[in-house]
Amino acid sequence: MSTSTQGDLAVDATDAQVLLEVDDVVKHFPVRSGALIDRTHAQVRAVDGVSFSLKVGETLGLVGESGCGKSTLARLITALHPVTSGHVRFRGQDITALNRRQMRPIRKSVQMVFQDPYGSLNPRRRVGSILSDPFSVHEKMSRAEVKRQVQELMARVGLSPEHFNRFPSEFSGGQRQRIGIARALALRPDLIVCDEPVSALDVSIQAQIINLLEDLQDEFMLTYVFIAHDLSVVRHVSDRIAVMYLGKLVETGPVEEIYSNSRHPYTASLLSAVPVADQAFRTARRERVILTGDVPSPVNPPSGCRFHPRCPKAQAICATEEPPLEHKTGDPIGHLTACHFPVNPGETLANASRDAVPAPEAAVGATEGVDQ
Amino acid sequence: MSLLRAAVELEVIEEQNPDAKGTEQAYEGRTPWRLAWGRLKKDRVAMVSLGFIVLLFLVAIFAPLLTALIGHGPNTQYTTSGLSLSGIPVAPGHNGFLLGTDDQGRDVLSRIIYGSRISLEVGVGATAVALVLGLVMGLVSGYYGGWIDSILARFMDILLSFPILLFAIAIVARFGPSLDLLIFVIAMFSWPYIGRLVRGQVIALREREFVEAARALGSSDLRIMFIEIAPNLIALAVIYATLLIPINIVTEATLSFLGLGVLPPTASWGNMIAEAQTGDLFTVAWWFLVFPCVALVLTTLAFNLLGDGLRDALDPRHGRSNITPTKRVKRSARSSGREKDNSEGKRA
Amino acid sequence: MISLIIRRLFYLVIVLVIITFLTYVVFFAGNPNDLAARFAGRDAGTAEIRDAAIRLGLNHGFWYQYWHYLDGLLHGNFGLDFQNAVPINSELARAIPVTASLVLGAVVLWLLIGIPIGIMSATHPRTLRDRGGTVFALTFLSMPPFVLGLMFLLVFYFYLTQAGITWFPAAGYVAPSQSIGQWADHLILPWLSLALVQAAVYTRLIRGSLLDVLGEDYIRTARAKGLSRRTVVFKHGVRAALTPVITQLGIDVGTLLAGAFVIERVFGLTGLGQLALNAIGNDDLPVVAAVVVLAAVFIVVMNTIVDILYAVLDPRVRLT
Repeated sequence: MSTSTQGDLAVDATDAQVLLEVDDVVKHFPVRSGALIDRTHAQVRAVDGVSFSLKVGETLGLVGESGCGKSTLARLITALHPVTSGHVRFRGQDITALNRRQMRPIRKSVQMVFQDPYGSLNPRRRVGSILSDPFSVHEKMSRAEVKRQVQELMARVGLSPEHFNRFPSEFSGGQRQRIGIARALALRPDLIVCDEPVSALDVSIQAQIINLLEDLQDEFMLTYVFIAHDLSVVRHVSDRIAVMYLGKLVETGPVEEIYSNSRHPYTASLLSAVPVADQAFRTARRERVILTGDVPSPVNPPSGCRFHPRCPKAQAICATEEPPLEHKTGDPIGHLTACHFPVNPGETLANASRDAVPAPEAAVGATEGVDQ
Repeated sequence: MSLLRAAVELEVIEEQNPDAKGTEQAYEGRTPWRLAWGRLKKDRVAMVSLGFIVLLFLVAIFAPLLTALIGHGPNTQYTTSGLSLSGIPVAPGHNGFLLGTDDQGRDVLSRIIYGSRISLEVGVGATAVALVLGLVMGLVSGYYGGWIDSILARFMDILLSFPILLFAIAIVARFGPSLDLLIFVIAMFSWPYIGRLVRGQVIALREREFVEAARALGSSDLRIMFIEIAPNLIALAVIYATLLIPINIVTEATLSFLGLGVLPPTASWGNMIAEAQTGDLFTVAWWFLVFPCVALVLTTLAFNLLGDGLRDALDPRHGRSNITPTKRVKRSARSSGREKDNSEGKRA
Repeated sequence: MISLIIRRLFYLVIVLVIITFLTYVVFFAGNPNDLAARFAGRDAGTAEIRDAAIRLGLNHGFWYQYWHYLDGLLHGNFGLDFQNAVPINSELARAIPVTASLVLGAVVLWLLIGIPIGIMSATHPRTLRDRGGTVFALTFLSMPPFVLGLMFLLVFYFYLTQAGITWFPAAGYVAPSQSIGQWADHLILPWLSLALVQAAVYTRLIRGSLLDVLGEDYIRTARAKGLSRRTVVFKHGVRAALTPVITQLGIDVGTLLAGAFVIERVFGLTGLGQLALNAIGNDDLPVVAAVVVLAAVFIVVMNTIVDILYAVLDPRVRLT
């Protein structure tokens, strides 16, 4: 499966330099317990075979419900967690095989902006000290030089340089996120993974932070992996979108293509949930698709297509055979969908009859039987 | 996209210029320590206790000066002025003995002043050693997890389930009493209190995003432990050190009382009490038994109250700004400390 | 549940091995000649010391000696004391009832004092009664048991006796087989000195945990259902609030035993503490070692029982 995906994406990435390649990456977290010796008796399959690649200067929007593994994926790309299997290549170098010391130069080039502007800044350290970390870890610099760099950084992200002596608690949420961005930016990285950087902020502040990220991208030729559960935010910043469900990519493609011509029922349902203020934006397909049920547990994911218990179009094959992430006829190059019965243009999911489908609950029951 | 941007253009200006009035002023001066000090200052009980403790330290430091002013050395036996003809100690306020004399005609006040040196030396010294050990072990145990944690956590549990006194009896029986040994023994058995609390805190802290951020920057483990995590443990360390000091002072007094700690004639509150108890003389001359007891109890009380106030000030979530609008939810030093680390241990 | 018990018992065995080993090392490791000299007494010549070394088994290797010691312990045999070469077991048999009486009585008393005051404080928060509880707790919390004991001795024994009121007898111990009344009469002041300090801890503990419990949703639901306040507090609240008390009790066994040793010294009771302290005075290491091992085993076993009990009472623990 991975090779075919890889091939498809490679076509897409012929002319520009590929910065990041994620190749069939898997991350399972063990669930342990036992009397004397801990035994692993279950796996949380947080990320289960994800592949994509990213060109220099590009922004990939990674979308999915909470718990779908997108934050874990972010930490695999930044090598904060070791992968269970698969490869992450940065400029062609496999970073999953590197030890701590070999990883150091990569750390300078791959940075991360975190979701929680309150949790990601050490509450007991002054902002100047937090921002000088990148320099003291990686560069030999005099104190004065570090201070100059820190103040320059603060100015660049829109903070008053005189405030370097303050504690994070003396800043507002938006300002703190600016500090987090400044920290990520300090060593002039090539790739920044933004893990829901605005979801904890007020809506008005969200736009400012996004504008800042865009400006910085232009100025420093940054490549972004932009994670969000909010499709409207991702649409605004991304060149391409990847939709994730229970540890797998279900659809990926250029941003406008995904928004105007989504093929996977899950993407379609996510899109229909985005509130649109302006009537002019409403398209013919804008009818709410309401997903039934909760996201199944990643400890014991459904067989076949993982979306089938909640899918309005699911049929018998969906419970048994996993659909590959592949190009569907009629779609432009680079638009890949993992679905046996992709949504056709003009089709309304809300009316999709579930009567024709074997009762999904029964299917779930059957799957669980198989899995155990 | 330009629509979205246009809509917020105005606010961007304000946000990018944080010196603009209004938004910024509310945040100024909100450093963690200043906030805590502000809360502590309002706590009258804690401030009085703090005053008492400062005074006690001054007394201990300037003990020679003070006893010179009083005119009575701590170990001098004033057989003529300090004892009546029938050998009864002089009552408080007579012959220039403010707190009276003991059965050997020594000035009780001078001895209490010198005893404060021992109490603070052992209380603070053992606590300091325990604090350093507890911080390092707790950090290592909590940060690394895995088998290192299993071994260290079990080790701390074992030490905690051991009464210090028992082991002090054992060690003193073998090696004989001395002040250094006393500090060592007390520190050895009190660091796990700190270690366990620190460990619990570190386990929570290491999952925080700022630690991840440090790792994403390529910070070393040592750097993360001591630059990122350790500053977040200071509040906890201050609180529990303050609560550990009185426990250690009492342990010293108890051991000295049993003859396992500081040996006479060096004055310690514990051995003063022991000496007073040996004869029946204290039934007629209560003061040389009661005053060392009072000194010990007041000191313990002051540290406990200060520790309580510090907890409220440094960790307001557990204090009076709790959901229960109690004026002062005052849990005992020992109970809530142990209750907390205990429940942690049970659930870990 | 079973897994938890297995885990605890396994842990218990390991701790016991460590404790006996540490005790053995502290007391008996080192130069065998020194030990033998201690045993042989102050004026012993070289021949006597060598003789003593052989009698103590010191001429064998360290591990052999330790194993020998452990083997003795397993058979409940603590060996002979240095002083009179009598079996330590018989000395322990005399001392244990005294310490046990002291500890048991104190536990009963402290729960009888601590729990009601704690409940009263929690059910009437911020009232005069609560403040009374707080003052009680703070007063006794900062009092080491031996200080409290001495004050009791001074006030209730000496001053009352001097005033001609002989409510409390002189120091000493009367076996309950002789006279239950005398037994209790002799122990009431020691019990109080030991119990009041701990009771102070417990009032705070119960007040805190009961206040927490009473703030829970299910308590409010029970009240809303129309149950009386009394029923809610006693049937639901107190039961939940007692769980931490049981844990605390397990932890306090050690503190308590240590406290009991000190109180024995204050009131001249010839229990384990006095035995150990006298033995230290006589340089009689095996007796001290026996008391230390006995006390440590007792503490660790009690802790294990409490842990298991805690798991029975609080189902959440079983999940871990």
